[in-house]
Amino acid sequence: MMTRRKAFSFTELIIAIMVLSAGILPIFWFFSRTNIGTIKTRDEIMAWQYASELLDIAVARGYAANPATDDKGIEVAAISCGTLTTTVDKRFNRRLFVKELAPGHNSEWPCRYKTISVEVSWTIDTQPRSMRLTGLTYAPEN
Amino acid sequence: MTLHRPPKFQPGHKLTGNRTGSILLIVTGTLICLFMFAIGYARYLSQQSAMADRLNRRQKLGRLAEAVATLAAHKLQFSSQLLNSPSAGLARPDASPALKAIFDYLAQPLAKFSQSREFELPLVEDATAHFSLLVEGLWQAAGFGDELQETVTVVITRDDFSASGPAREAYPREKTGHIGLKINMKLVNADKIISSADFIYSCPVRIATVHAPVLSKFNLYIENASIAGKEKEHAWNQVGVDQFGNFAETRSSARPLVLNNDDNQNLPVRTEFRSFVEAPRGLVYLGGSSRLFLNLARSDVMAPNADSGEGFQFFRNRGFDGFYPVAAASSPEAGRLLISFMDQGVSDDPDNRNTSFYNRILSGHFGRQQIEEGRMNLASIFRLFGTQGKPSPTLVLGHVYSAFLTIARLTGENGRKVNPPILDNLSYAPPMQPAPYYLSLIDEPEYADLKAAFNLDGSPASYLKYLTSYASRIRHRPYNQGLGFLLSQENPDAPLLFPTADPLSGFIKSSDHAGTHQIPAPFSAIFAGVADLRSLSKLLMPAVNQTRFSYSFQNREGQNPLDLLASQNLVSRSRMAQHGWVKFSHGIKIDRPLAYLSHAGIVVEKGDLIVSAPVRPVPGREQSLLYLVTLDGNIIFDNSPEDQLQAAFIAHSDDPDRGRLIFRRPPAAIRGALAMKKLVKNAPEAVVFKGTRLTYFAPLAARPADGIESSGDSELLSFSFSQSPQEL
Repeated sequence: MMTRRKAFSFTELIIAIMVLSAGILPIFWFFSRTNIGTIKTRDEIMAWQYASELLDIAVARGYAANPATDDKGIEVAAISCGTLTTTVDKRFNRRLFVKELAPGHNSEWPCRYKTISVEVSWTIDTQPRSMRLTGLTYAPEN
Repeated sequence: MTLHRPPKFQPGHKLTGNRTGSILLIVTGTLICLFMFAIGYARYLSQQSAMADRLNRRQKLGRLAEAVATLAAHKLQFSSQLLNSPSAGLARPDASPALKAIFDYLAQPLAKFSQSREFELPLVEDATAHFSLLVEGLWQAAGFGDELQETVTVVITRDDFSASGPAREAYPREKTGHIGLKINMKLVNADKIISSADFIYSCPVRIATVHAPVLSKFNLYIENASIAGKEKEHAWNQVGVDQFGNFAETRSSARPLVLNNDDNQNLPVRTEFRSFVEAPRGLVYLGGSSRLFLNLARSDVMAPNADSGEGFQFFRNRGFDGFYPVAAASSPEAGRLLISFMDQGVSDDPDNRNTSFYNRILSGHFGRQQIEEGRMNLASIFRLFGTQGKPSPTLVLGHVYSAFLTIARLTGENGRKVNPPILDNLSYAPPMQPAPYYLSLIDEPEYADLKAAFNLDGSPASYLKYLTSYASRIRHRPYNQGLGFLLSQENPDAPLLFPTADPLSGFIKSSDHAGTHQIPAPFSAIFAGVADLRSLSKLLMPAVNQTRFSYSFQNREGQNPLDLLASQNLVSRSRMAQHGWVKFSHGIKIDRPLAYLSHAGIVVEKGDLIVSAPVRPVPGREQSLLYLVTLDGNIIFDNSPEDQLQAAFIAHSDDPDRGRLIFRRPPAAIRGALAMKKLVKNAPEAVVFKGTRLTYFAPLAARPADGIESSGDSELLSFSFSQSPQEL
């Protein structure tokens, strides 16, 4: 009898499980949400890497190798360097925008400029996300 | 086994009564722990997210900051060239207060720098309003509007610079280093700062003086002005001049090189040495071991603006009477007799007005010999002190003498006419031609008074005395003695006006003294171990030190420099926008008009530098200068007769056949300075030498610092900034 009486009663267990469930569920939900935040951060970092990679290459190619694009830009999903090709993840879309920068700003200015922007867009948790990096390239004014 | 109960143990007491709800305590405790963990984890994740977010934003702003830094560097480099100071005649950013403050600070000697100094550099100012379009376009491309604000601060730290240049003590403004560009990018919403990030970039800068210390003080420097290598050099005398002192183009295959040594400032002659070396005046050095005899060109009172005459180097009373007394004695018959000389320049004009002078000298054997040997019908190629129409005195270093005709006159007291009125150059005895002969004449009654008064007889010693002291003849004197008559033309003793204690007196008295080849003070202290002017290499090489170059180009021989400079954004609307010194590996050809915006220097490492088009600063930059140097080649002028050049030229080579300035087709005028190893290779080249007008670019006379005063090269500084600053 002594042994039996030392255990929890069924009622106690039921109440404990209910309390535990009520407490843990929001915690799990919270963990799930924060995980999405982590994924979001990861995606942003990936997006920044994709954008940065293309921007670096476009700036390095120089002014003449970057013809101006229209407002929609051009999609650059992959970059090749010799036999090496890097491709953006399918979840991402990467576009390059090149625009002459204030071509008539000063007729005596010895060089001219282009802005080079790279926009990377993706969707996370049904929400569309994008990031844009912008750099500058210049060349002698003819 | 017996169970011992505690003494107060009640058998009927319920053991489970106190345990009720303990599971809830455990659950609650567990939940609290989970919550605490969740809160900590959430905080960690949110911090991580915020960090990632901040990092992303910083990266994004960082890219824009890089673009802003590039624009700031371009503003420093290009705006400083496109803006100008009309009063100073220079490319100078006076219209931009921000740039002006930075440039004024950078122009100081390094010792005057503070440990660290910051300057705001707004991209958009009144003088650089066009930057608003660039900034606006950049923001737009990045997806920003007014909410993004940039602040550029230039940080100049003394430790980031080091003194450079060929003469760091004498010209301490030259330096290399880097400035910091602190870029602050701020996202603002309704005056509330959402985000702010600072980025620091390093922008290399080189501040160089566009001159060659010591050499630049010389309007004309020729390391070796000997032509044939003889002890006496007369081969420079090649220019025909008419009786009025104008260049006789039809008779002369050579054209003179006419110097203006003070940039048309008409600086007066003073009696102190320092007035020549410290004033903005270009000196002349004609080096080599030969004694150079330069015939002064004839002038006439009728032609005060003659373009070639050098009569201003002679005594003239009231502008025309050139006789001055040299010897006096008394004759029993004629009383007091006076021998006077009149000096006159040379001319090959057949007109009697000119030949009458020559006849007095040609009448004697030695007179004829002097005229022939000294090429006394032709004037020298050089107009070192300018011309009758525009005298321009300076100090001439080297073994240089001026040669001229001297006519001797004999008069009685109060100008009374006596015989012979003119003391001709005489041959000693027949059959020398033409007559008369000294031996025949000295005993003639006509010469009796002269003979008696000056103790002459028919002996060879007496003849020698007559010839060297009294007769009409060719004479020469130290070239600088002409300065006396520029000081006071109506004083026949003008050369004696220079105080003997002053170093200038040595140059007046002699062309072969201790200072003849010495670098004059205060320029003598510039290069330790280089005390004299004899070696162009020693004077030039420090000035073309590698640390001075902002850009180096590997080029093909004969390329136009503008084509090469354009690749580095150093050309604006076909005008050279180069600040500072650049180097080309091979010869270049300036075959299109070259207009430059600011001080610049071009050094050709190997090859010729050919100039066949005008070279000038753009209007409003008249006080800018381009230095053109070839280290192993010639500089060849192949210009149209109307071409104007504003540039200083240095031709150097270790090859004895190179390092020359060759005037194949000379330009109309050069404003600058010339330095070279040799001017002509041999006498036949001298015969056809084509000179031009050379006007000294006065700022080149920049004085070295002397411990009290700063160096005078502030108007010759160039500022070269890297166009691509790097993030630190």
